[in-house]
Amino acid sequence: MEKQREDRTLEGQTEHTVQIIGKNRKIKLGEGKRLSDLISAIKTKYKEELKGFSFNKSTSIVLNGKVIKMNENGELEENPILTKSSILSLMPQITGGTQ
Amino acid sequence: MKIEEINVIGAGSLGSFLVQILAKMHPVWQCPISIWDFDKVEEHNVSNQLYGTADVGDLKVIALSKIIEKLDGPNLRIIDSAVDEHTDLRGLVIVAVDTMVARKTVMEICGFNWGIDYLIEARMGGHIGKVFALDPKHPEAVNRYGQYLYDDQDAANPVCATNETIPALCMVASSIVHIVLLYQRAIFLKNNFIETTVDLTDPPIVNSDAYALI
Repeated sequence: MEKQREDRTLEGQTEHTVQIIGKNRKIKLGEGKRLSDLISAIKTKYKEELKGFSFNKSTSIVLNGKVIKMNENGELEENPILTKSSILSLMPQITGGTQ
Repeated sequence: MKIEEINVIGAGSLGSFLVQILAKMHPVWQCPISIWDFDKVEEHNVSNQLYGTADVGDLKVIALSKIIEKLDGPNLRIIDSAVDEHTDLRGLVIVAVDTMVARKTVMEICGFNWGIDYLIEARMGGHIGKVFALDPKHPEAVNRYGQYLYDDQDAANPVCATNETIPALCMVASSIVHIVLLYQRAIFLKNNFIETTVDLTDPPIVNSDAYALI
C-alpha cells in the first residue's frame, strides 16, 4: 500500500506531512513552493521540537520516498517544487547497532 | 510462509536482545537461528548488552548461546567470523551491525541473491532507531534501500548506547521480530518496502510505513 496522500488544497495552499523522526506534523504552503521553503517553514513552526536537530550532510531527508542529500554547507543538492501534497521525512543518519 | 533459516548478523547491543526474543519465540519459527559475530564481550558491553560480567572475554556468539541455553531456548548456530563477500547466506537475514560498510557488504551478498528470502536491517542512534525490511530480489526494493546506504563519514555523530538506551534497543528488537512474524504470516510483505521508525526521545513512538512495490 502506498502512503496515503491527501491533497487538501484550501485557498491555494497545499498541506504537506512532515515526519520529524517519529512524529507526524502538518504544514500548509502556497502553490509552487519548493522543498527548501518547506524546510524553512518547519524550522519556524517547530523550532522547539527541532532543538538539537542539525540540518547538514548527516541529515536524512526523504521526500516522497526519494532521498535528497545536503552538501557540506547544509545546502540541498536538489530543491524540487512541491507539486502535490508531499511527505517529508527528517532524521539523523544513524549507524549504530552493536556498541 | 515457512522460514528456512534466520541469520542474525551482529551480536552486540541490538543483536543480543534481538536473539533473546527470537529464541523465546523459537516454537513459532521452528527453524535454525544462526548468529554471526567475531567480537568478544568487553567490560563496557555489560551495561547495555545482554551479557554479564562472567561473559567478559568470551566470544559474543558463545556467550549468547550459553545465555539462550539457560533460558531453555534452541541451540543457536554460531559463526565467529565477519560476513564478507564470500559468505553464503540463506533464508531470512537480519542485519544488526554498526557501520555502513558492514551494511553495504551484507547488501552486496543479499542483493538479487535467490537464496535470500527476506532482509531486515536496523540502525540505532541513542533513543531513536530505524528498521528497513525488504525482499532483496526486488529491483525497486533494492533501489529504494540503496538510497539509505550512505557512507559512514556522512553519518550523524554516533550517540553511545548506554543502559538508558536499552528501551529503544528493545523496541527496535521487538519491531524486527514482529516484522519476522508478519513475514511468516503475510505474503503481502514481500511486495512492500517497510520502514519503521522508533523514537523514544519523548513519549514512545513507533511509526511504520509500507511502500507498495510495482
